[in-house]
Parts: sequence; structure tokens; C-alpha cells
Amino acid sequence: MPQLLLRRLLLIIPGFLGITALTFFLIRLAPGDPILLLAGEHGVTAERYAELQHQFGFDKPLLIQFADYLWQVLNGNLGTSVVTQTPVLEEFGKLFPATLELAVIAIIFATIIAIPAGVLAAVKRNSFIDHSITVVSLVGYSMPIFWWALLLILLFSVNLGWMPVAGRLNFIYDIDPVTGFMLIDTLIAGDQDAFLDALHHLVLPAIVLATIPLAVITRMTRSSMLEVLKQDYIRTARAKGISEFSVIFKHALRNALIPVITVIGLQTSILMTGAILTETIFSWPGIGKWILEAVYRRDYPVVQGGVLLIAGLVILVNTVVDLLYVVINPVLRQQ
Amino acid sequence: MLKAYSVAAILLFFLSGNLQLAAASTLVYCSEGSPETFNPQLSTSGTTFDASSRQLYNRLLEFKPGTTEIVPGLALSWEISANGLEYTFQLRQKVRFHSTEYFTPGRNFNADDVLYSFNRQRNTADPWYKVSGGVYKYFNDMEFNSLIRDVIKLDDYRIKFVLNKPDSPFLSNLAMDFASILSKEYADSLMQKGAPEKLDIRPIGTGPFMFIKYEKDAFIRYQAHPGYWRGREALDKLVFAITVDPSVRYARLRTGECQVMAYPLPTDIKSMKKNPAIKVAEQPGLNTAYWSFNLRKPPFDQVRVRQALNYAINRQAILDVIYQGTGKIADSVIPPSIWSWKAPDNVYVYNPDRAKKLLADAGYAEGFEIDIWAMPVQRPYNPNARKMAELIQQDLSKIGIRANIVTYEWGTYLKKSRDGEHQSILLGWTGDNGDPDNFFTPLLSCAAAETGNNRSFWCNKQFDDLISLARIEQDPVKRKKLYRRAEVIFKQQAPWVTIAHAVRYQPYLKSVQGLEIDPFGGIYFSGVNLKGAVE
Amino acid sequence: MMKEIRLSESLVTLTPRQEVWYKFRTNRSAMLALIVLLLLIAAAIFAPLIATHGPYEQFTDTLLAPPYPSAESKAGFLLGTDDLGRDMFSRLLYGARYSLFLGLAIVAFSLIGGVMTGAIAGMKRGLTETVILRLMDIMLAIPAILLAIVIVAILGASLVNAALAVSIVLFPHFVRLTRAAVISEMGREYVLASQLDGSKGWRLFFPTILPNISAPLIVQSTLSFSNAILDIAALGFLGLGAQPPVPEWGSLLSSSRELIEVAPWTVTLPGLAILVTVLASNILGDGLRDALDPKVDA
Repeated sequence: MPQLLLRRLLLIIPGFLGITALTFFLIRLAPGDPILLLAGEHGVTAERYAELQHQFGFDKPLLIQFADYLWQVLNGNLGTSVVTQTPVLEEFGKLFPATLELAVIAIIFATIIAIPAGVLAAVKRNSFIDHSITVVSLVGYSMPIFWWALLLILLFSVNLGWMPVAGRLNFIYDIDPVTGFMLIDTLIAGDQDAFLDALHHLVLPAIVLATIPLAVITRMTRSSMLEVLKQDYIRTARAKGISEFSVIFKHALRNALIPVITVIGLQTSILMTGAILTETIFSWPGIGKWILEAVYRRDYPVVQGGVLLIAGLVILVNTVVDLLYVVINPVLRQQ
Repeated sequence: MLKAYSVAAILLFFLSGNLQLAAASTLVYCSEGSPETFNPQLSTSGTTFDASSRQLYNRLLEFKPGTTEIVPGLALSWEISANGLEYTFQLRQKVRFHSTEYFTPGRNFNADDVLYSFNRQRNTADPWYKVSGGVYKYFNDMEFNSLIRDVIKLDDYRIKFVLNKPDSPFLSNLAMDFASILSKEYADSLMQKGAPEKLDIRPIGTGPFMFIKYEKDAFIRYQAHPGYWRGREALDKLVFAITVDPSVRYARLRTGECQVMAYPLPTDIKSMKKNPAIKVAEQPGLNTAYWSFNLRKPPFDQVRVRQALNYAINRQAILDVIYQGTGKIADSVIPPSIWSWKAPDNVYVYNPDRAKKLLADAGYAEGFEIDIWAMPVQRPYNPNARKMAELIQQDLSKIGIRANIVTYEWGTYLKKSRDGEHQSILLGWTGDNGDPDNFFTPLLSCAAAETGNNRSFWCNKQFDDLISLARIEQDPVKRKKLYRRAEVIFKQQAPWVTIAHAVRYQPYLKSVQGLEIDPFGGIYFSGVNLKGAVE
Repeated sequence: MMKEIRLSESLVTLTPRQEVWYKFRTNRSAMLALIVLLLLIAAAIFAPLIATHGPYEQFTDTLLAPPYPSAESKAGFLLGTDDLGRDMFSRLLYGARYSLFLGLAIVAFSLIGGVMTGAIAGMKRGLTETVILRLMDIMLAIPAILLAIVIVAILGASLVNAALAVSIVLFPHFVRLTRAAVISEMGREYVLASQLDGSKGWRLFFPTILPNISAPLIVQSTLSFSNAILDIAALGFLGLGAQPPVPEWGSLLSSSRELIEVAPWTVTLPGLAILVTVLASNILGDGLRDALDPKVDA
């Protein structure tokens, strides 16, 4: 098994290299001269242009430029935003906790509902409950979440006035960003009202972001559970007279959860896609909104660095999930 | 399962209860966008002025809140020489600059600060000139660089402006945002640290509020300036909650998350007026929305094409649909609320047949294809440029012109159009000193065609001479006549389609008191307080 | 009981294709989904005949008329009008053309490209395969919408570019699927027989292998179709796809977002159209998978 783990870890390296290359060359395809872009408002003289070209290394062959860029990336330098003049990594670091907080709440929410729903559907196979759960999860899976978000806003904010429509916290609270997680920061500040307000702001965006993972996990739990329930050891357990509750939750669920955990882990990519839409609609100050606005503003260093960071994150999480799968799966563990 | 439901229900109930607002004297303003900078000298955008000059800085002269009348600001009094060329200002003493986490002032405001603020913008040899791009659009658009011959410090509290020619709007212009007074001491300390551009990001002024924190696309925080020379403000804290989407701004106003909101949608006005907690102040706006043709690009170099398009657009429909019937059709460059306005004699009336004929005369019987640039944001003069472009597109299709709608992020939009990349563009202008010159010179002069603020790049000698003459002229009756002659040329040459003058709405919660609706389209929080927000 | 007996009886006489159709037909929800999709496609094709108005026609005296039945509904505007007085029903109908046909075009594009690339990887193996697979892994590591957004940012925002971006995003799925299927088929007897006859390369792939791996490709195509529609709509919603006044469903949503309070139908209807289409193609995809794959029973 250690060999397997090592091989999986080593695969990260070409992955990162590839992502770096892809973003580097993709951005080079973008129209517009990067120097003129950087020079901003009033352009530059021919002399200054040549000087800048040299300074940025644009006069070197493309492959050398790529090597330079790679070296910069390895040294933690992902460039500087053209708009704010702040290092990309710094901006990412400041905004990422907001996305992470939202994503974590969303995935917890999705898991808490999806696993019992999936189990229920599998146990009551072909019943009305099963059909309802299947239909609901299919609808959730097919949902255009940007529209779903608008519907929730229409109902809970516009008509009922229960939920705030945007942001992470009411602006009257001025909370120091210690961890960047609003729920934790408000607690550190000891402001109970602010904590409740932060929670309040999380509800709708978390529901929206959780929708697709919820559907995926429910479907996965159901089919995995069905598979397990057919196994011999379950029959044996039942034959032994173990209570049905115990059969389902102690024996079946434990084994059914292995693929489910993998699926939960693999939601990172879906969550990031969702975050771009959710954060834009709810004005949530996270990296999804950040990168979209960078696209609108043609802030290429942010787009390049942001994509690299997000893709790197996805690769990392997927690798961890793969490794975890190896660790928890008894079949693979013995190999 | 049932248990889970009831827990969820309790949680929901708990969360949905109206949370009490804590700090009573914090005012939250839902603003429409992120400022480009905190230095008003560097911008022409109202969003930037709202966030900077109007809360953080003072000017030598200022407008009396809610009016276009000039009152003393940092200048106590002034004298004008008989030939109209020299203006001597007596400056106010004991005016304190903001003391913040990043700067503690060592002295009060004096003539050096005035000198610094103007020299940065006019003196190309000044080390500050090039900082943060070195483009002073407003200063140049107002022709201050050619107007001001010199600024001379007579002593610590007296300063003299020497002009090259008499200029009637000069005093009004000094009350404008770009003429805000910055701290020389702060500038010097930053220059010493080698970080001069910080001046434009972390501002220090003399104004009613001081800068605390800014997060792009999220918020700006201010605090009352304890040593403000007009007296400390009633509000302790001021927050700009940057909320780009107007329907979200309205939702935030309704839930009490903000107390004042920027630019409401005309479609929402009706429901706002019905809401007992909300007050909607209104005023005829000092603005003009227009569709400008880039004369550097064919077919707009042809006057008949431009006239044809003037006949082709059904402006009444635009007024009904986009402005929801509020506001007025614009037939002039300046809005009716400016003193020199008079209903023009020659107006374009919607007439597609005539438009077609003009196009045929110009050799475009088959029509052509054009780009219409439409702003991505809502402005006081235009609530929805994209929708307006769609209406125009429809009108144009009737005379055989195919139009594509193009849009960019707001900053990019302004920059690209300033560089003349557009074919035609929807834009507008809100006056900022109540003088007619403030429309003609920055928007249609040959000087503005150089800087690009004249998006038509229309430079007509005759027109330009008339508006320059009007600018020097001191007699209002003669001035008015000169502007009328200029307008006739403007109409005949048709570099724009003048579209509408919008009504300005300012919705706020009834708990907000002392908020004056600003005729210039901006917002000032000096003198505002909150009542009844106490727990 | 009856049903099962009949099924096994018929199996004797049915060709594989008939068998699949038989299995599919018994799946009521999948049949319903198929009918809905066919109706939608028909509506899109015959939009000019069905639509009561032009999609761009503005009736400036009937702004924001609510849909039937409502006291304020205006005659002739079944689903109401938008803020420029355009008929929602007609716009949605024409919008179906963009969503459905673009969806089909996108799937066709990435299917053809993906199958060819996957076939090369599966048949050549070695370094070619590794390079292709790594590249696909990298593309899959970038969240779909993000990759599409970046591609559109580079190419410029337009409907065609958005479609291109989405097909690039969907492409790796087909590559991986085809490669895996080809590899599993390569050892089979019929392939060996054909190889002995001298077939190789594309001559081997198209007539011999492709028909035998079409089942998973069909399922994947249906699922990709729903993804394509969702992604195109999302890009339109973000202002990076169709540009106004094109009545593509996502951009309809985006331009009526601010009307959510005064005219909720301008927001609910386009979204509902997207949901129904995506849901139908997902159900169809599930149904096809069940019908085509004897192993799955759920």
C-alpha cells in the first residue's frame, strides 16, 4: 500500500505542472498587449515599452518565459493584480476563508440531509418515499442554481422578509478578521448578535450551494446502500436475528459509506463552480466572485493566479480523497 | 425525522427574528460601486467623489447643502481684482486634519496645503504630478491648466490665484470635487517613506469623516472626525455597503440593513413610496443622458447620418419604458434646472421616414451595421443603459441599421471610450457646479476632444469659440445668448442624440434626519443623524 | 409475474436494439422525459409558426403585463410581457432554439472530438495515452464553469464563444470514456478477428469497435446535453454568453433579475424552462443507462 500512496502523491507533480502550463498559455492567447494593459490609462513611449518588455521578460522565448513563471510560482509569487496592485496570493488568502466557510457549511448541510435520505430511500425501495426522494434529488441535480437562488430570495427575502439578501454580516458590526471565518471571528469578538447575524446571512447561500451536492450524495448513498443490502453478510446478519435497525446502521451503512465519502470529497469542483454563481448572486466576498470580477475587469494576473490556485486546490483535495479511500477501503488496504 | 424537523423549525424561527440593530449612531449607506481611488483629483466618477471628497475633504469654497449656492469652506473670504484676473483668498485657521492609525498631523491646515493640492495637478515638474498615473482629467477638462497662470502663497493664511483670462465659473469650479484640499504634511511624509501612491489609497483630509477601512467590492468604513472645524458630526460611524445590484440595495433598505440607498430603479419607486418606513425624496436632476457618435469613425463622420439617427429614435418610448414616465425628453445639452436653459426652437421629432431619406441622401440607403456601447451600471441620468440600447436597436432596425450592443465593466468602459475605441456610446453627465459651462466645456469642447471626455471627438471651431466667449463673459444675459447660438450649431451638427433629463430620487428610511438631496447627484453625510434606532 | 414471463419470451425473438427499446418503453418516467424533449424540440423548430409575436417586437404600451390568468393580463400575451413590452411566450419559444440547438451542437462537437481523441489514446497506448490522459485530468481539475469563463474571457463574450467553451469543458469526459471502452474492447475476439483481417487504425475503430462502445457514449451524450444547457445558461446569466436582446434563457434571466419583485414571472419562467429541459434530459439519460446496461438495476 505505501507504494500505491506514493505513486498517487507523485502524480500531483505533473498535475500542478500541467495546470501551470495551461493557465500560462491560455492567458497568453488573450487579446491585448499585457504591457499596455499594465501601463493602464495613458500608454507608454516606445523606449519605455522596450524597457518594460525586457523587465517583464517578454522579449525572451516563450518557453523561457514559462520557466521563469514556474520559478516565480514555486517561490510563491503569483503576480500582482492590475486593478488593486495587491499580490494575487494575498488577495486569495484574504477571500478564501469566506468561500471555505460557505462551502463547509454547505457540505455539512448536504451530508446531514443526504445520507439519511439516501438510506431511507434504499431501505424503503420502490415505496412512495423512495420515489419522492428520487424525484427530488433528480430535480436538485438538474437545478440551475442561479435561478434557484433567485427563487429563494424572492420567497424568503422579498416576500417574507426573513432572510438577508446579500453579504456575510450586517455592516453595523465591525468584526476584526482574525481567522476569516465569520462565525468564529464573531465568537472571538464575543459579539453574540453579530454571530447570529452571520449565521443568518449564511442560510440562503448555503442552501443554494448545497443543492447539487445534496442531490449527488443522496443518489450515491441510495445506490451504494442498495448494493450493500444485497450482500451475503447482510443476509447472514438478518438470519442471525439482529434487529433491522442494527443491520442497517451498524452493518450496511458502514460499508455503504465508503464510496459515499469519496463522492463527498469529490464535490470540491462542483462546490467551486457553485461558489462562482452563489457568491455573485449573494454578493458573498469570496474567491468565486473575485475571479469572476477579475474576468470582467480583464485583470489577467488575478485570473491566471486564481485559476491556478483553485485547480491546485481541487487536485490536492482529490488526491487526499483518493488516499483516504485507499486507507478506509478494506479491500484495497490488503493489497 | 420529526425531531429533525422541529429542530429545523426552531432554528429557522430563531434565525428569522428581526435582529436588533446595535450601535445607534452607525449609518449604513448602500452605495452603487467601488471607488477607483480616494483622491478626487484623479477621477471624474461620482462614485469616487461620494466616497472621497464629499465625506473626507473640504474645498476652499463649498456648495450650501441641497443647493447650488456657494458658501465659504476652507476660505473665509475672497477678493477679486478689477480685471477679473486675480483672486485672493483668506484662509480659515485652526482647521485640523484627520488623525488616524496611519498618520498623526503635526500642524493645522494652511496655505501650503492649498498650494500642494493645486500644484500636483497643474505643475508637470512637481514630483507628485506623476504619482498614480498623473492624469488629472477633471482639472484638464475644466481647462484649469490653461486658465490658472499661477498660485501664490502670500502668507500662511492668504493665497492668490492668478488667471490668464477672466472666467465666470471660476468660483463655482473651486467648489468642485477635484479642487479638494489634501494635506501637504501627509504627502511629504509618504514621499519620504517612498510610498507616495498611498496618499490616494489611505486618504487624510479635513472633512467631517475620516477614513478607517476599505475592502474593494465590499465596504468602506468611516468615523466621525472629532476635531472637525464645523463641529463633530452626530453620526459616530458611517459605512458604505457597496451593493452593485439596485434590487439588492432596495432589499437591504427594506430589511434595515442600510438606511440610505443610492440610485433606485425607476420600476421600484412605486413600491418604495407605498412603504411606510421609507421616504423617497425627489428633485429634477441636474443631468443629461445622451447617445454620442464617434466622429472619428465612419459613418458618423457624415452629418446627415447623425441627423438621421436623431430622427430615428423614439425618445418618448424611451422615457416611458426606461424612465417609467418620470423625467423629461432632452432637447438641449443642459437640463432645464440650469439658469441659462430655454426651450430650444429646433428640435428633432421622431420621424423614421425622414431618417431613411437622410440616410439615402448620405449614400446609406441599404443601411449599415454599428456598435452601441451601453454602460454596465446604473447612473443618475440613465437607470438602465442596456435596456435603452435594446430600444434604440429596435428603432434602428426600422431604418435598416443593424446594431450590436457592447458593454464592458464600468472602469474599462470609461477608459476604452476615452481612448475612442467605440463607434457610438450611451453616456450622460451630471452637472457639478450648476453653471452651463460645466456641461459645454467638459463634454463638447475641442480641449475635451483631446482628453477624450468629449466622446464624440467633435471639435467645431465655431461652437468652441462661442462657448469660450461665453465662459469669459460676465453678463448673464449675453452669456445666455452665446450658449443659445452654440446650441443651434450643436443641434445642426448632431454629434449626440440628447435623450433625457432624469428625475433624481433619494430613498432612505424615515429614521434618517437631515439628509439633503444633492442637486449634483452626490451624497453628503455631514449633518445627518439617526433617530429611533435605539434598542 | 405476467410481465416477467412475457419479457423473457420476447427476449428470444428480439434484436438487441428492440430489446433496449422494449426496456426503455417500460420506463414510464423516461418515456415522459423523451416526449417532453421531443415536444420542446418541435416547439423550437416551429417557433415562428407557434409564436404569437416576434421575439424582439416591443409593445411599449404593454409593459410588464402579468401572465394569464390575472386581472391585469393583456390579451394576446399568454405568459405576460417583459419591461420592454416583449411577449414572454414568444421569447421563451425562440429561446428554446438557442438552448436546445446549442446543446445539441455542443454535444456533437465534444462527442466527435472526444471519441477520436479517446480512440487514439486507447489504441495507441504508451506515451500518447499518458499525455492525453494527463491533459484531460488537468482540464477536469479546473471547475467546469470556471474553465468556460476563462475561455470566454479570452475569446470574448458571445454565444458562439460560450458554446465553444462549454464543448471544450465537456470534451474530457468523452475522451476518458472512449479510451476506457476501447481498451476493454481491444482484447475481445471480434476485434482480434478484424485485426487478423488486416484492419487497423480508424478502419478498425469506426466499423468494428465504435458500434460496440456506443451504449455508454449515448448515455454520456444525453447527460452532457443537460450539462451543456445548464452551462450555456449560466454563462448567459453571468453576461458572458448570449448578449441582449437575444432571448437565450440564461440571458433572459440575467436581464430580468432586477425585476424579480415587480414582475416575478420574468424571472420564474425562463428558469423553469431551463429546469424542465435539463430535468427531462437527465431522466432520459438515466432511463437510457438502465435500458442499455444490463448490470444496473435500481
